[in-house]
Amino acid sequence: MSKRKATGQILTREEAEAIAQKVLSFADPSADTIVTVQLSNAQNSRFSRNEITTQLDASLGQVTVTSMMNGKTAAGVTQRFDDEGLMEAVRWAEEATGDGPGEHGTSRLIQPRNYPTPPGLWSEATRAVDIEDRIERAVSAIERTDGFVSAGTVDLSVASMLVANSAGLVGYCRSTNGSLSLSARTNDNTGSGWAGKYVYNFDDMDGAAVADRATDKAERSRGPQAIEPGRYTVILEPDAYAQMIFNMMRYHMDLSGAESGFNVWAAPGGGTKIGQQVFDDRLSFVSDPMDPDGPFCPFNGVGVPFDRTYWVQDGILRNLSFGDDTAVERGRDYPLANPVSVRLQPKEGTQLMTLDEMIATCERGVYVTRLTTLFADFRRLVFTGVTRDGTWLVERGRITRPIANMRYVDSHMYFLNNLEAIGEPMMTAGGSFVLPPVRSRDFNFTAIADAV
Amino acid sequence: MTWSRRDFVRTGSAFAAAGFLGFDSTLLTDPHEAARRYRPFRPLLQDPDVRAIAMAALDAARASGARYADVRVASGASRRTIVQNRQVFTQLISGSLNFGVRVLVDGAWGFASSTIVTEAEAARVAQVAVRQSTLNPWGKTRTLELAPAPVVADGEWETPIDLDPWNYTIQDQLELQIQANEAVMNAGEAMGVPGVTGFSDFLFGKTDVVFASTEGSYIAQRFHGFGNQYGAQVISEDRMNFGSSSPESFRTGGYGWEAIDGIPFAADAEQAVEDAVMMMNAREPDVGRYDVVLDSSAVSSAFNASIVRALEFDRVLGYEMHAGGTSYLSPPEEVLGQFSFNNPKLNVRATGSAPRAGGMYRWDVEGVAPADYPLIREGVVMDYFTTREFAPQLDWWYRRNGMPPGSRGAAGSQGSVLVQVVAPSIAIMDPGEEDVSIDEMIAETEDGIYIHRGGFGYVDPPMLNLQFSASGMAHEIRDGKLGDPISQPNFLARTPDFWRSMDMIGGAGTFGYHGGGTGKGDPFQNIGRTVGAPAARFRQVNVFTYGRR
Repeated sequence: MSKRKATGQILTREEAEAIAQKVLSFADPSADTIVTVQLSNAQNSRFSRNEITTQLDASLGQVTVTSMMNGKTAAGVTQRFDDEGLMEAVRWAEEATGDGPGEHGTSRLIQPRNYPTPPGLWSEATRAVDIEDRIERAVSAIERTDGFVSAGTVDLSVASMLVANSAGLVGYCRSTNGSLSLSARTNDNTGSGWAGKYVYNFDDMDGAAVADRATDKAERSRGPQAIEPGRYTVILEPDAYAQMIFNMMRYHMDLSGAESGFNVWAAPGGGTKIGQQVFDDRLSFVSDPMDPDGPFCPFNGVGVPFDRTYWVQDGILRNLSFGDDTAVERGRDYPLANPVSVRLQPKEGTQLMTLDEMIATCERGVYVTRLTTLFADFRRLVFTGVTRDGTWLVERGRITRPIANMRYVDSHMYFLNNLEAIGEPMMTAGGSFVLPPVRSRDFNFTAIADAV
Repeated sequence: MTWSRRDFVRTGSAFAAAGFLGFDSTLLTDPHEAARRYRPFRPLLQDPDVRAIAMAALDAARASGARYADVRVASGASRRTIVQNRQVFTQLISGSLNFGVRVLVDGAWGFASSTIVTEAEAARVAQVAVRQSTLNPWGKTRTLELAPAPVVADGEWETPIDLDPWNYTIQDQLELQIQANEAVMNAGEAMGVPGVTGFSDFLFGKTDVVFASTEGSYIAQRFHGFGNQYGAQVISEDRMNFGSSSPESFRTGGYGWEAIDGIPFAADAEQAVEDAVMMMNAREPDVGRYDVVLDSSAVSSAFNASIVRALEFDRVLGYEMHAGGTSYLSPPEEVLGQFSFNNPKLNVRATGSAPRAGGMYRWDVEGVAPADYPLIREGVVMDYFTTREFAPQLDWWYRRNGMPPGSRGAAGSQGSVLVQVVAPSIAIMDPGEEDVSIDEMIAETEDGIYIHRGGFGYVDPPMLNLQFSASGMAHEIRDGKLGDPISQPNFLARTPDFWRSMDMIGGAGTFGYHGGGTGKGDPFQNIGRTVGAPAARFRQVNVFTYGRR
């Protein structure tokens, strides 16, 4: 009999704060200092060829010290929690803020405040998962893939983060999540299916259901035939375009990039597109740490609060992130930081459709499970890649046959302006993005890419 | 007292624990002053405490039932500075100290890692790893025999560099970057070009890694590297087009401070601004089929994406079906000695050593020295990149051909906290025997495109469809002469067809080393390596654009 014991360790608020306060005591009293203390545990069981192949249990700690002195900002990072390691990080940060060349932007400390606790971000059930539970979950998924070649992973994470600064700010956040994703191929290697799920509470993870979705897709995509590339109506599952949304949120949401002309929100000839209609007016992009479907920590690594923010409201670009220089100019207490996480919310009153309804009301189109995503044109946010793991032709209201994978050149900048139907937003398999399935006109398939 | 101090999480409070250690008393009176006296970076190479940690992990693994275990303890530091024009965006010094333990129980691997580097934690982590293996139901139904490898009892190696970057300060680093950026800004002004940005991102890294195994190996290596970028960026007045360029003299890879010492910034800057403007104003090529001449950097990129990665044996077996992707060079029984690119000019080999190679090592992350051996001979696949886990599956082939058995020394990982995977050593595409120059290739090309100074190669998950995007410079070739610059052409090709179409290959004079590497695993690991290739010409390649203007 083995005794079950969870391996995921994090720091409590008190433990993390003790480390942070010690770092602040090591810091130059004349400097503005920010300390971030993190400890997380990441675990997984990976499988391929219907067997668990490798597993991981990583407990990773990190302390980041940001020092602001002489009008300069610098940071030191250490993985050590002992005194010497903490001192080292302080010293690295402070050395770099001494006499030296270059101009730095403004950075003020965040004043003491209370951060909200996002609902559902932490789950005791997830934290309590033991190696044996995790392996059982992987096994239960793999067992459902008999007759297919399957590969995938079960991942778990528990994490804590505390931010403190020399103005007296203390913020603490802890989070859990689990994910399971699986690829299945038919034994003749002509059909392939993929499915994934992301949860905060691991009790909500139904591995068998994920596996069934993947094998069903593999079975139904067996023996695909090519269709002529060209412009088609597409029905996109949320996971198909999550990477595009990531690329926009990660690289294209800053005001300075738009003002200097280097991101997609630069207006030709000068200025930005803030205030302009950029997407279908039924869509808003909103980030909210309190989102019950996609909660996230309510502050960033230096303590800047994430408030509920509309980046796009009813299709109109409303906000772009900015640093402290702009915050000072605008008389704001702190920058507008970009949390990268976002929900794509349909306007109230929009009639939402399920994927089945989108198929049932589609005269002719292509159903897409997944897309690989590479930048084709960074500046205009156009992507290229191929369909993967379950692509079908839809004719007269039903899926008629599997089709060979195709290369595309397109963008959510286009297809979120050509919408025919919108579904209920849901958390995507990679986390961070709550997106609806959509049906859109004139998606641009440029070539056959018939590898499975 | 050294850094191997305490398991904070267990003792609950670092404050409480400090008292037990008789720590420097100035800590209590003037902690900030005490902090300023400590030196960064703890070298592991001769550190007796590291040996104790490593042995604690191995002993605990063995005692819990592992028949094989290895441990890696790592201590590193990196220094990164990002400057754009005169503005400092980032100055960051980052230290790491961690370890990872891999165990084999019956036929199953376990792996666990931690940043709490103490003997007690090493033992706990080893036990967690063993528990994973024991609970894996497939561990009992199969066996996993590692290929034999020589025991290296006291290995020691360091990336050869000329000047230790850690003898220079972060201010020295910023000084050079600002000089470089000002040179670009001044050149822009002198040339009357508006909207010029000088950008630079410099990163020096140094990591000590100690590897120990239950077979008795104990290896300490110190890795140095320099990376990232510098150059000029320009944007058109209507802000709809931009161009950028990095000077050719900018070096990355296995370098110390010499990477940025003595760069002719002023001369570089003029050329960089000129090139950036040229690319900004370049027109797009007409879509169609062209003969393309690629310089060594562009060939390296296509080579790394479509051949080198496809030779990683874990992909070949399907282990990366859900992550990094599978390989068209599968199954091995039908590929080795049989799969041909139908091009005798294509000769590929692996090596453990190349001058200034980024990611170079003397022993891989399971203690095996990388082999010098052929992978593709006259277009025919002869071998793969393997590790101790996978090499035994090729014994039949090695025996039949009188080739040495065993791992080829291609195990890698992105840091010691992640599990070992197959990662190529240094892959080289041999130059042609005749000393053909790029000029000669251009002279013999009627209607073509010359792509130089960089490019990105992408492949679909089975690596059969190669998409290449020029990222540096491109020029049209008309009747054997270079013509107008053209804006970032792309081409698409089926991988084997592309390599079969290579009809001219440059001589040794066109050969160069460039950044390569692989991406795979879950969590996803990016492992930086070096590839080498000559320039080459490819016939009738399908060139397309994204129709941007």
